[in-house]
Amino acid sequence: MTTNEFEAAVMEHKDRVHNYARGILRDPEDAKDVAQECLIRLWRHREQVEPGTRCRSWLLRSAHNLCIDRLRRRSSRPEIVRDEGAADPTDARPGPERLTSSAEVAGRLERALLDLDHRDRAIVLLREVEGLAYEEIAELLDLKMGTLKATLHRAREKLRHALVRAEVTP
Amino acid sequence: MTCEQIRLHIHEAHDDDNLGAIPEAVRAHLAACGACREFNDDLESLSHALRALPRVRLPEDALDAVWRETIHARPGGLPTSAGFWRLAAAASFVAALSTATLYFVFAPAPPPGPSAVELARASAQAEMVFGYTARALAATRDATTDRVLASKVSPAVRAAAASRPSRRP
Repeated sequence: MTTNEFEAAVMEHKDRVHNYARGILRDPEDAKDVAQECLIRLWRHREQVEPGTRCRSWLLRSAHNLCIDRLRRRSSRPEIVRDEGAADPTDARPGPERLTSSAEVAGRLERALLDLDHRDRAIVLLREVEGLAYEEIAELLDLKMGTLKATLHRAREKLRHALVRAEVTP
Repeated sequence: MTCEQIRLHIHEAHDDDNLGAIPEAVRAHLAACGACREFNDDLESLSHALRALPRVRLPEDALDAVWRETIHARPGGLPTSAGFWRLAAAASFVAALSTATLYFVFAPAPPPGPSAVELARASAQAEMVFGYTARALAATRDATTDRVLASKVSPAVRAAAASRPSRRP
């Protein structure tokens, strides 16, 4: 990977890597650090990384590993760190009215994502948010295809239940 | 097929992003079963909602740090605008410091002052000149005094003055 290709890769993937880290860690500062470190690692390993799809996978795998390291270090405190953008968990607002604004749906969805364990959350984010192929996710997370699909189905069910319980139409 | 089997098919259709590939038997079930239809709609909406989650841009300071640690860390890397001005300021400072150092090290020494012998000789010459001048002035004064006395003073006084010893050396 040349310097120009590296610059192009950073500009193309920086927000993707940052959002993925943010989705897993739920902490803006940690996510920023992980994205930064990840992009610097890409530079150090640029001789081994080809531009394009492989680069995206490489970055997301690197981000995933860094996030897991952080979660392990964080194990002495609760995993869930409230994201500034997430909805207030105490705002149950029961009642017949359904929450319809996209901001409210996004807030509930982010809350529901927080309740998934980090592996399930990673699969949902990689598949549903980043749009990676199953083969790519399986390779990235070192999972068998059957396990991956079953996990994704279970995670979708949890999210759907969480949103239905919250009276939100996803 | 049971509702559970139908939902597995629905999941797989969502897995492949190909809702058109739902088998006819599943479609027939969906037409008849409100719960499974709602399940299908929910999954579809869930996928849309997940893809519509707000994306947060990587902050500029983090991106700057990446450039600093990567392409700008090597010699010849292209500087960012902020980095460029910092670099320019540092270069100016180093250049000024080097110039000042070179000046103080290599500038020619100032010309030396007069030696002690020359000072003594000059002092003696000055003293000699001042001595001549002082004597000339004294002589002039005495001559003037004599002329005044000669014109204004009576012969008796002049005689008394003449009888006094002269002040001239």
